[in-house]
Amino acid sequence: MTDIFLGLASLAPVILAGCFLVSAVDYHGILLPAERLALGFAVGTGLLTWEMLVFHTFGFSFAVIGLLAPLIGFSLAAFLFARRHWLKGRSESSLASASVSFRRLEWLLIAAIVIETSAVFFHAWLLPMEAYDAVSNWGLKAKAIFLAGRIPESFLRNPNYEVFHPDYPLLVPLLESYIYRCIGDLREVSAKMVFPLYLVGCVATLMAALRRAGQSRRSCLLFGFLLVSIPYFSEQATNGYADVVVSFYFGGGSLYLYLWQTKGRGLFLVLSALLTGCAALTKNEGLVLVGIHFVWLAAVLLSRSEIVLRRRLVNLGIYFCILAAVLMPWYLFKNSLGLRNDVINSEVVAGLKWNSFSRVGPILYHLQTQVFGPKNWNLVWILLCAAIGLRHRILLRSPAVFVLCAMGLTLATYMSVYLITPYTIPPFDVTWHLRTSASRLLLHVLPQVVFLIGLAFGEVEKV
Amino acid sequence: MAEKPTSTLPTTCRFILALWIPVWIFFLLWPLRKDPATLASTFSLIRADTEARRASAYGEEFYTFLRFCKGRLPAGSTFRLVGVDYASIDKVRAFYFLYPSLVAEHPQFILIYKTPAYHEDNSHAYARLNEGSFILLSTSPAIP
Repeated sequence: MTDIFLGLASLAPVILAGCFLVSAVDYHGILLPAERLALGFAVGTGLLTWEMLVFHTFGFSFAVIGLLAPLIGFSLAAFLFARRHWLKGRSESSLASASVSFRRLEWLLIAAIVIETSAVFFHAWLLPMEAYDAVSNWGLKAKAIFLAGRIPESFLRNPNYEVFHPDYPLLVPLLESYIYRCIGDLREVSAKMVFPLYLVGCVATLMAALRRAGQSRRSCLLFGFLLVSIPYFSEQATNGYADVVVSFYFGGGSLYLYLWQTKGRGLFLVLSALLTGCAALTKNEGLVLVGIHFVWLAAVLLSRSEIVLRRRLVNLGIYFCILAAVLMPWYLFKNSLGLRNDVINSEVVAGLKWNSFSRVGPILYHLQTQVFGPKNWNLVWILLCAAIGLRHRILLRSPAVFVLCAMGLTLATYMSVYLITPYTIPPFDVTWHLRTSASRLLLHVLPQVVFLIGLAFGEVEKV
Repeated sequence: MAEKPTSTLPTTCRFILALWIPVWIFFLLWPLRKDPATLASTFSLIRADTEARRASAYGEEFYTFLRFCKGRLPAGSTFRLVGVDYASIDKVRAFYFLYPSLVAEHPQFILIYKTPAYHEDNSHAYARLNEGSFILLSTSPAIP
């Protein structure tokens, strides 16, 4: 239990800094307390890794005080500055419903969510870093950064470690190395606590988004429970893989973009940009998600003739500038090292031939095994299909159709990678590549899937 | 907006729960039914320390070999693994565990796992764990 405490204690100042920053942006007081905390964690960890990349560029060391002092100082200053300009009569939250006591079903759902999340923390605590990507892709880099006290460029350039994707963004390794540095020891289990926290954040953000979309409180709890009880989702939050992190950032980015589209508040646009940027700081797939969100934003702005051109450009500009600011340190660093992906690169893309489309069969077969795979996914994909079929008036119309299209585009882009993947010789062929990675990619759109099911089948709040 | 509570959940939500919960419970309990030893090993891990947990995850024999190598390799040395499948998870666990010792094509040390007959020119025995697992020290110049 000491490991859990140390992990959470290391992250507390980072969460505090994130909360200050989120509160500074939320000058209308729109966010719910749990949502603010979840976003504080997500933005705080993103900001910390961004800061570490900037520090590395300028040759500063990764001393804990040196990292935390500017982080907390800046976010506190932003919070205090913003507070001076908060509107009078700032509402705490338009969704406050604390006066209504929980009913029996709600207590049961809360209990089920607590049991599931506790089980995730327990499983994460039980084993050290041992899963394939957890050690090879993220853990090894975290260890190298911790031991070197900086990002060891020679290690990332070492050709003997090229198979471990040195070009992958460093959010997770930097975060793990920060925890090691805080504790002063390589306590892997403490570092693993970040993954269950991302799962909890994901559930909190989903429930808040559903609430804003007009769902009743018990409906939000119901779909929060559905998300957290998907076996593959909770399992992947225990083993040190980064996909649950991308799920949170991409899911949050999509849901806040949806909320911006429906509510028109600038806060949601800013949050969407920040979270989407952090998704691209986590895995290379995040860059695809950035592109998809940008297309989504542009499509919404172009489809609204009532918005003046200047306003459209301002919205696009804000989104672009936030993304550029978040991503610049990493991509400057990556380019300076000349890193590129060992599996998917320009030569592999150029090698796309007509016979590559023969792989569509194995890809579709694999997807089918996931849709009808209750062991991993319970009935979530079947429910999504049912929702699209039975509630097409909700899901195939704006604004929900944008979420659906973003998800579809994400999956289509991910699956198209398997058309060009260079694995051709059994046992390391496309079937092997699908089996070892495709299921995890589906996790990236899981919060959006549950959100759409909630919109389709959930209980709309009666007033 | 104030919520006006209604007594029952809508039919669709009840239907979803009625389908979802049995599947959820089934796949929670099925692994225990299939392999009851899982529960016992989980309970034993709760009481175990970090070393024992890692041994359980990596496999007792392989972890003993890795600890032996880590104890013998000088700081900053280079190594190559023999007897571990290139695509196996054991390989990445070894790379992770032995860091900051680095993998190299022409290393100072050759770590041999469960390959008793293995021998290499320009090298001699450096340390031995058992008949099949040992470390060779290369006499050729190491190239990182």
